[in-house]
Amino acid sequence: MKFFFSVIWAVIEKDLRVELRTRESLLVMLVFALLVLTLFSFAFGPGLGGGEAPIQAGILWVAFLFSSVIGMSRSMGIERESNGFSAMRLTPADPSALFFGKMISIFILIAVMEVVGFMALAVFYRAKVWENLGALALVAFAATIGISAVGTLFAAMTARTRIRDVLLPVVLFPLLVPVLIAAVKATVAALDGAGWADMGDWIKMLGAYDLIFIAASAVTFEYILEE
Amino acid sequence: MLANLEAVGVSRRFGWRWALREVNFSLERGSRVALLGANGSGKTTLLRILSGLLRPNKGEVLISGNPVSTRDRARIGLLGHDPLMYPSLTLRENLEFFARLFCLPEEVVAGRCERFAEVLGISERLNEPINTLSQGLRQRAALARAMLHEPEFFLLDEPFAGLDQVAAAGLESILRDFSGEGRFEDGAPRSFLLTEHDIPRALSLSDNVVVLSKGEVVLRAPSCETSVEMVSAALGEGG
Amino acid sequence: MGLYELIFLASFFVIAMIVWTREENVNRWLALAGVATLTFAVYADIFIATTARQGVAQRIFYVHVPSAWISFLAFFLVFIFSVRYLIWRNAADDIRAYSCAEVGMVFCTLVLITGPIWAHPVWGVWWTWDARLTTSLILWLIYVAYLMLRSYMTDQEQRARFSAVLGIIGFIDVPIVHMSVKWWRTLHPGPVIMRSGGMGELPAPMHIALWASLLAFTLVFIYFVRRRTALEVLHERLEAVRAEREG
Repeated sequence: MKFFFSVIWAVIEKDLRVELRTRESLLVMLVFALLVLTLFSFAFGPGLGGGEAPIQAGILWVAFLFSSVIGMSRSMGIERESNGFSAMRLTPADPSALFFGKMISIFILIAVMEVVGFMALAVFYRAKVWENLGALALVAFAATIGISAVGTLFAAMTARTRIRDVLLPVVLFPLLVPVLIAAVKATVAALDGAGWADMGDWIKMLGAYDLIFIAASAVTFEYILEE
Repeated sequence: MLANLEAVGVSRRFGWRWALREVNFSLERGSRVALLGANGSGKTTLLRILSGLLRPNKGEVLISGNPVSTRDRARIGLLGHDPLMYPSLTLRENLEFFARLFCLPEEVVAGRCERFAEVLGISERLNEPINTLSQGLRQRAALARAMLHEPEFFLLDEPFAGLDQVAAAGLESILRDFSGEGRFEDGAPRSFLLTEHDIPRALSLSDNVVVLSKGEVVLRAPSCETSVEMVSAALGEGG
Repeated sequence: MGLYELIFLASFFVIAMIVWTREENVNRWLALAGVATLTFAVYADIFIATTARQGVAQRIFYVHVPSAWISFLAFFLVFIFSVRYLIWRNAADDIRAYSCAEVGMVFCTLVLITGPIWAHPVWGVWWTWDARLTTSLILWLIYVAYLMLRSYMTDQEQRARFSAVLGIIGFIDVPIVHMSVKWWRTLHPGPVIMRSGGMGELPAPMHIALWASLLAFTLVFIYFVRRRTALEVLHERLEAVRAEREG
């Protein structure tokens, strides 16, 4: 059990080191998220701003989802290029510990991207981000856990297929529909300053999704590691 | 009870081609075995199956008579074609990462990495990223990674590939005296299975030789009683 | 005992027979039973049952509902065979999961085609983001991903493992998708059957017609899956022989 956590930490530390040294993921994710946010504002016209929480939340989460997919496939691309999963498979490390390590490092990447995304939303769309920071952080946390759990599993899987990066969104997005729905609905409630009464059910749904898919992904990750 | 790493009736196919058919093989503790075979004869596949990277379609891999558990992976070390290291990280970072994955206690991690870097003569490269190392140094770095957890059974897939004369001679001397003078902490003998194209070198480094052809074992003999001609004949048999 | 209980019991009898018969000609019996029930179902659908309110458009319901049932059944079977595969690593389970997914995909497509055809005359729109229809759409997309994943992989062993993982995760996801979609939007007059009162709200003749259709579709589905599995086994054998000859 002691080694379980040291393996998780080793994987996270390694991923963050690689990211600091190569800067291959985060920058692209950030730019991409900002780009999507900007493109939507062009698509909807310049009149968009203030008082349109449903649209803001929708734009935000679509941008986050796309950007997350880029982050995940990059993170798994690093493993593919250096055959990292084979190297990991040769060790006695618990596959689910390896899963949690990858998942948390992907979570950190997405979370950093989301912080910048929320700031951009506040500036570009005049969304009430500052006023509702706590509620938004809660929503983003719950949704990002779900995205990174399922994403880690399937990014690791598609990284080993022929058309990898193209296949990942096709596999991932249908599975993430509940997260998208719940995250958007809860974000709308949070941006409107509505209390737990409006948000609660969606947060609970995200929580349930997170628990179910963390468990399912941690158990099945072992089958992805095999060659 | 005899400690050995053994493949029992192992078959593996890729697509529709059988890469291995009903191979039986045993690597006894302390023995040195050379695995010879033409390209595509299934050498690498057998090594990957023994290391646990690949699952056989039929048959099984046993360690001391039991199926290999996750924990038992620490008893096996693999040096593949690929260095299996992260190119943007330094040698030290790579070694320390894998030492942690091998569940070595935190207090021995740093010492272990330095000792094996020392043994393989790459101490002064510890702080250089892998992608700045030459092919020969990379090979030694990969060997250091494979030795890090002091496994009982080493699986070395063409360790001499891409090495120059000097580096090859260095590696040869390491292999000749593999478990000698305090190289491993417990001083117990280590065994290795090695694949190699150079027949004389393979014979001189091993106690036993196994020849694979088209996924089947065609010759098994003690190295001292085997001549280069016998091996070539066995290699030619499969066509 | 009413007629539809009789059919209900008969369907159990037939399914039990299929499960226990391991003979070669089970497919023939299956086909025969499928055609017989299908004939009866078509007869029942045309001559017995329609609600006055929805008129003739309602008849497509005898295709729509059984197709939806089959697509869920198929995905459930994909899940079962995927779990079995990961436990025992028997290639036959992988082939079965694949066959179920492929045939299920056909029925799921049928749901998505008949849904709008039914919706248009009744509600005046081709598509509503109704919970059931939307869930079917997501289900269909997961099937597509499953089949695509398989088609872009070459090593059978790895393909079997990966698609089994997707088959399991995808199935676990379906109820959550359904729940989230339901909360997201419940817009239109709920479907007539299987509400809280179950079948009770439908007039009796429609029960018979619907049950007959359900049974017929189930038999046809099982028949298709068995044939598809047999075809895939043959295909594998052919490939193996071809590889053998090429050396």
